[in-house]
Amino acid sequence: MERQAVKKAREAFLSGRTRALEFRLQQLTALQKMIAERQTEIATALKQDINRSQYDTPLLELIGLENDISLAIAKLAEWAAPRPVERNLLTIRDEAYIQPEPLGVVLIIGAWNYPWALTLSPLVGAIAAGNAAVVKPSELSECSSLLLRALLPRYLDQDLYPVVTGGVSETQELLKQRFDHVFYTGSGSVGRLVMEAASRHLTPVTLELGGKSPCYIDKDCDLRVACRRITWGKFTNCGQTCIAPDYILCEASIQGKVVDGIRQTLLEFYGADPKCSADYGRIINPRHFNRVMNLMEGYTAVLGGQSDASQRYIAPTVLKDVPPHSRMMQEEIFGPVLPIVTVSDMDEAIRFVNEREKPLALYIFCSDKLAVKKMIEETTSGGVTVNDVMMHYTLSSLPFGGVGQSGMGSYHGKHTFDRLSHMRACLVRSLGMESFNLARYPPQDRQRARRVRMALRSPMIDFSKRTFVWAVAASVVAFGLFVTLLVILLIASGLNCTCWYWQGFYN
Amino acid sequence: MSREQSLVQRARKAFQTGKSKPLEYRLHQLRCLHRFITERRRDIADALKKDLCKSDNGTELFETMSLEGEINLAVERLAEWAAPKPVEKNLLTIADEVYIQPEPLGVVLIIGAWNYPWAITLQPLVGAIAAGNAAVIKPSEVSFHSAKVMEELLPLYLDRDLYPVVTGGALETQELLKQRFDHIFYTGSGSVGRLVMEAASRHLTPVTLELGGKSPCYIDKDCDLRVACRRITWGKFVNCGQTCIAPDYVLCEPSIQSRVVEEMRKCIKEFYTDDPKTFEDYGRIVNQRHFKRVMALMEGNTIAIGGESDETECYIAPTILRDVNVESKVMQEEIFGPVLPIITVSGVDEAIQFINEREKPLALYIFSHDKKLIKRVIAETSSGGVLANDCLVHFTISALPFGGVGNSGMGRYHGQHSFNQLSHMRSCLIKKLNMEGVNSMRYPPHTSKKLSWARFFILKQINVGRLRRLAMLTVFSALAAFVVQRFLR
Repeated sequence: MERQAVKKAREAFLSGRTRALEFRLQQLTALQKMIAERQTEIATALKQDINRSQYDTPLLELIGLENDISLAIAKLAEWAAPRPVERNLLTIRDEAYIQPEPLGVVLIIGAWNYPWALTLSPLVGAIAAGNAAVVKPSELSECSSLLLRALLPRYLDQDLYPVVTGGVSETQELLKQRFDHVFYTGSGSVGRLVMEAASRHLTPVTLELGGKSPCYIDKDCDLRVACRRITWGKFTNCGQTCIAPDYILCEASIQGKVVDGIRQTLLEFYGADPKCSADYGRIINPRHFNRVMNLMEGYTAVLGGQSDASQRYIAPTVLKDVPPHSRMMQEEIFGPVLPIVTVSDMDEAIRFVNEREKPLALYIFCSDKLAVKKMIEETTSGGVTVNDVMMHYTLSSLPFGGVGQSGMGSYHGKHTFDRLSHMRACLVRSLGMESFNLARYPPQDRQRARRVRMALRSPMIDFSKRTFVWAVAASVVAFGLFVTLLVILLIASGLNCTCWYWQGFYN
Repeated sequence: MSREQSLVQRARKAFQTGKSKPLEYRLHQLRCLHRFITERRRDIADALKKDLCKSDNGTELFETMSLEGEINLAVERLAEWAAPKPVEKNLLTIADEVYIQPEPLGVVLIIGAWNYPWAITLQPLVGAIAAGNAAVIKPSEVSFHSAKVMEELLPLYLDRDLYPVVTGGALETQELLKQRFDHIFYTGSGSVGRLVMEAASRHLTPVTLELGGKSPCYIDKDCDLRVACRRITWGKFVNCGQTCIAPDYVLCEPSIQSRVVEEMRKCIKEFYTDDPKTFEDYGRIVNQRHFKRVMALMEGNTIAIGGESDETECYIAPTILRDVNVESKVMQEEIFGPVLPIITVSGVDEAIQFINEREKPLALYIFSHDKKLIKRVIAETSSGGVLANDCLVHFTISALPFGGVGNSGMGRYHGQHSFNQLSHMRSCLIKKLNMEGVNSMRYPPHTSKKLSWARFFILKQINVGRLRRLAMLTVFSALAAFVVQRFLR
């Protein structure tokens, strides 16, 4: 069945109908319609999957998606247009540009924590770039995946964008097929398998993986606000966010205040009993529930710690003085458990971060600009947000992706379009001006070589049309200003304008 | 610990000291590399003569010149490339610092090829150094002499720990591929490319694969055949056809086939004299194995020009085959030799169909006076790059990304593209701890009112650039109005 879906998608792609921008815009508009019209159903599916509150769904998934689609619709013509490039003297009279082209059939493997955003956001880019796309939502978020399979064909072209549901064996079957790009969001272990499968067909991949995103709190910063923001980021979606602050690094002297700040904020957000709050989520399934519970073993929580297996509920939990080599610090938590590891100062925090794998996100809470710049410079991560958490995800002009074990490739906004396109180098010369080429033909000699060297030089100025228009406009404006200045100076130095005029007339 | 393992570890330790981060250091290394090429011209040319019978001028033209150009460009533009790039903000982030910061990846493995051992191995190195990485350089063992020279001389110019050269064959390469890198840059064949990517997947290492394929060359019947054939002949027989972007085969209508053959005969004579074997600027096949491979491809086809060979010298004359059968061996694999098959097609439609039935090539060449036809072929096909009315030259424009698509490769380089490919573009958002009130719309307990505020803030598009220009225009207009009113009445 998987093979059939891929085959149909490829045939549909080869028919050429995705090339026209109008078609792509129409599909994007239809997708926009689907999200607008089916909000309630999507929210219901998410409540069943992960106990997402009715407000969190639009806030965390749908508004961002709507934003992505509006941006793609507004900018598609600009993104898909040929991009002229700087030429050298040899090619100065030629047309040199980069032409974005569709890759072909893209495989999008979604994740279960934000099943709509993480599956459909790459789809927006795939459609915009003119590809066909096979969408494989995660089977762990079962209701969402079944809903997607029911809804998408009603709005989008059924052959070009099929939804394939299923588990591990269906995914493996899909990965045996040949694609032109595989876009995977999920864990590093499966990411390796995806890349290995892709290597057999020489298929490029984008892997959005995870890791332990550190959160450093400097002792001289507004702890109240910092804790508020961190609490929000950590416990949203019950900690099941790839860029959630995984653990805190702070000095021992402020650990108590940090815990108090979080305690206060939790009360404010979820009330005395988060289990009864409509806004507090649940763990996706028993397996992950047990996994997170096992990580907590042997620790006494300073906040929270309660759980209810029947509901897959884990209370917002904070652990202090966690040893760096504990099990909790070996894998991504992906749950509502926040360990605090104490460090002596920022330098030790930097060393701590650098000793570990490159994370997907790094968070720094500090009011000292220089210290912040130092920490950014001496570490690396997919992205970094200072004095807040997760917000770099919301800006589509920033490329979102990992580095090292946290992933490869980036997307969001135009970056998705570029990632899922082939940037074809185009040079259109003419058959005339053959005399310029003579230097390169054999028989070779030093003089010819020198001429070729000259021709390969770049002119100092950029010859694009835009620069030319600006140059002309700027010259006109500058000349106008110059004339105005002269007139002002002349008048100011006493010459009467009317007097001049009459004199000239009668003489 | 194997030799490869210890070299990689040393490179990583050297990288972790942070010495490749400052721009001055990178510029210094780039200038040393440039000095290496200018001072050791003789050694490089001698090595290439032994490997591929490349003439001195050929060496300069095709290997060192482009390399020098890349280094000069990198030195000139490094500060610009490495600077943080501010990006467009939205209402929520209007008061924040938002930018993309290019950062080094770490230790890059560069596996070179044998056809242009210097250009293809050192050009990625320029990008790696510019981006602040350490790089382990593995030149191809097939171009044995060049590899030896590189191994002996490069450490005399560049930092030995950061940029070690590792020579060896398949075994050494496999040992290298077991190590962990932060990026692998491979130039070579598709079959080895698969193995490289598979090895990289174990460490989740991103790869750039510059592979090959059969680059088609379509000649329209209404074009200046004399010039077209000249350029194609040049592009094909440079380096004895051993160029990844050489026009692999020609597609043209049967009515012009004879003329094409005649024109090419004239050009071959003009470029390489009546006896190319004795001519300095005509190369040789790199080794016996490839010689036999290319000779076997000629079997069963009509030779229109050339066909002579000399196994002792690995010499194959510039050869053109006509009326080639699509099923024959020469059309099943990349030729990579001085044999040019001509396939007849009924017109541009059939040519497009022919190209699309096959794997996406690294380059596509179209010869025609008709701009519309050229644009049509470009729109209805796909390839790594496309060049109309000439061959190979698109390689020289460093602003054009050079790379393949599909089976011809992934990733691209040249100029700033090398720098970008070998850097990590880190998203940075620097906010402040004030203005906490704005954030309240995202905190629980959620209400529909908070949600509608959030909608507004996220969905409202703000073009800060446009606002600024509008503001400037308003100021100017006000100033102009004031001036007119005050002084010119």
